[in-house]
Amino acid sequence: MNPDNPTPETPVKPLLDHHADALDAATAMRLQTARQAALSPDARRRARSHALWLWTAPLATAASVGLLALGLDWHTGHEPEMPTLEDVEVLAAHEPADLIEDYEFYQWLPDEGSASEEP
Amino acid sequence: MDNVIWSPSIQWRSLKPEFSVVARDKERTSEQQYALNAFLTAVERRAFRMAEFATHNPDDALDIVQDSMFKLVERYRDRPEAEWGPLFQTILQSRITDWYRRQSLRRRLFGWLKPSDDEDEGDILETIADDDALDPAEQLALSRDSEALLAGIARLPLRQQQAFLLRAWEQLSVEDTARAMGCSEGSVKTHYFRALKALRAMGGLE
Repeated sequence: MNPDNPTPETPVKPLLDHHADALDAATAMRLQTARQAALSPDARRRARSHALWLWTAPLATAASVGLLALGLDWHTGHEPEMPTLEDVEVLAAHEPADLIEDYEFYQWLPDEGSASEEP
Repeated sequence: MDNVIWSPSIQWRSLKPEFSVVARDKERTSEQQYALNAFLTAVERRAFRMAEFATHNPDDALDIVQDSMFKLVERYRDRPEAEWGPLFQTILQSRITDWYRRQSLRRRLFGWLKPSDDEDEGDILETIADDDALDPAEQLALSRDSEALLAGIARLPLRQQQAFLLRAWEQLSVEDTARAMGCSEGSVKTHYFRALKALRAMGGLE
């Protein structure tokens, strides 16, 4: 097997396509509803305002965890792992900033077609 | 005093260009909505299965897919249609990775509150594997090959799983896969190679 371009003999794509097509009706309906919501400007507006509120919950959670950990540390003598600033960011992050600011990605996109490589 | 006589025809002429611009924009928006709907319809089931392989939870998988759809439409709908595929995969994989990180962090922060069972605290993205069984109804509906393959994929560590699904299912190039996964091309090759090896060892691939 060539490690640079190994190709499985099993017909992976048809098998997985079949798996995707075999979704139950309820899940397919939920996906359809999700798609329609994504395409609706009103639903997106509501989601934006909802996301703004959601920002506060993880921050409050992270702050509470820190206080709880400190309190239990004092009470039990157990030494918990304290949340770092990075942890707070992960908890609070609803939008991956790297995607929004991924300038290199957009530089790469125009050349994407010519550089395609079959797996 | 100016004797300006209002005439409906004059007003209509002055507004006509605006109406035509609005109508053209509306038409373009409608075409774009149609194209976006077609694109999302084509990818939504595969995206759901990918997220489900990673999370082993249909509700979380649905949230990830819905979030990815919102993100694509909200921020990138005006990008050329040819870019929607790579963009959607990048958003989806980013959401899946974020989900894993949050799960890992929650375990780290709250896990010590539960009775300890000597969990391995390594890099969750590299080490996490699943022991959950697939839905029995699905297993019956699929061939033996499919069962072995699906069970094998579900047990792969996340990064191997992502590399395998993007390369072998989505047919992305190494470069596109690296972009979608946010890692180097070398890492993609390594993860993919290890995924194939693991799947062969588990009987999921010939």
